[in-house]
Amino acid sequence: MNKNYEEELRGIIKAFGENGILENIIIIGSWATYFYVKIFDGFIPSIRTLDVDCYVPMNKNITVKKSVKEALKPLNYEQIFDTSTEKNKFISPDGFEIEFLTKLRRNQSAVVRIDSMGVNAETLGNLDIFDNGFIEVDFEGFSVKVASPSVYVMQKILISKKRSDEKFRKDLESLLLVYEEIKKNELHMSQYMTLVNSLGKGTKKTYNDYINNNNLAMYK
Amino acid sequence: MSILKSVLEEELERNLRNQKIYKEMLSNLPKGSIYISSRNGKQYIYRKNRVGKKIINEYICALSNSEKAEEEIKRSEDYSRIFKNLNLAIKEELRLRKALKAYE
Repeated sequence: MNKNYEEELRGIIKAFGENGILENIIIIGSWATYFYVKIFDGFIPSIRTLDVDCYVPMNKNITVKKSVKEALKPLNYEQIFDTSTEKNKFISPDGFEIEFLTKLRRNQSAVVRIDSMGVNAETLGNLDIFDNGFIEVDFEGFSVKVASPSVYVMQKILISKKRSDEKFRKDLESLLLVYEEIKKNELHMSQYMTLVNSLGKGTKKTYNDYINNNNLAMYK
Repeated sequence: MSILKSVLEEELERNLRNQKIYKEMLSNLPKGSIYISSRNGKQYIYRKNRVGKKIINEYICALSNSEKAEEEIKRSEDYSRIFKNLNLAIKEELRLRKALKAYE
């Protein structure tokens, strides 16, 4: 892993942690796997993205000390808006991008304004899986919520149909790496099995199709 | 294609895209630095800008006009910050191109 990327992530976590933002978000996407080194011995994450995705469950009132824009300013991040979609993200000169996402609710628009944080969170399907599907890891004095390994794998599978070929390939590689660790760990394997067994009929079919179409030796 | 090469190419693409964004943001902000000048016991805000070989001092408002003064100071700070970020991005572009040369 590029040392600079780790330092970048440290900076982001620190900025969020010091400003009350961290407790309101769950790190999802490939950067969640960076934190799995804390729970899986010898795990080496394979992260090939500069995108940091932050899921905002929005299940309580959000209060922060500073807006995300102000918190990230010292790290040279700029908040940019897409005027046609109202989506926003934070970009840095070294290519990192931070996006905020939240779950899609019925009759909701494509973006939701979170005033206290000063961000427009993009609404996407299959994100509610993270509401109860996260772990907390201690990272340099901050408690960081990240997608639990089981839910990380499951979500990658469930969104696979919507992915481009390249992202599909990257996701497959990443989830298999994580699944290998899950298999070695009794607790996490039990959680994974519980998750699979709790899937509704339609979702279970999507899951099974993915396993079969990609010839994967995974629990089903 | 090497995985690292494709990662570098993706990063370069993103870098160039971001540089374009920074330039667009800068084009919507006033160029130059803000300074405060005192006259007859009152304070006034000016913007100093180099145009060719000339330094142009543009009057903005009295410091007592706090809303406008605050806005202009903020815009000037935004310009400086984004200009700095653009330069950092340009340095990063050079680093990426150098790294990509190894794959030629």
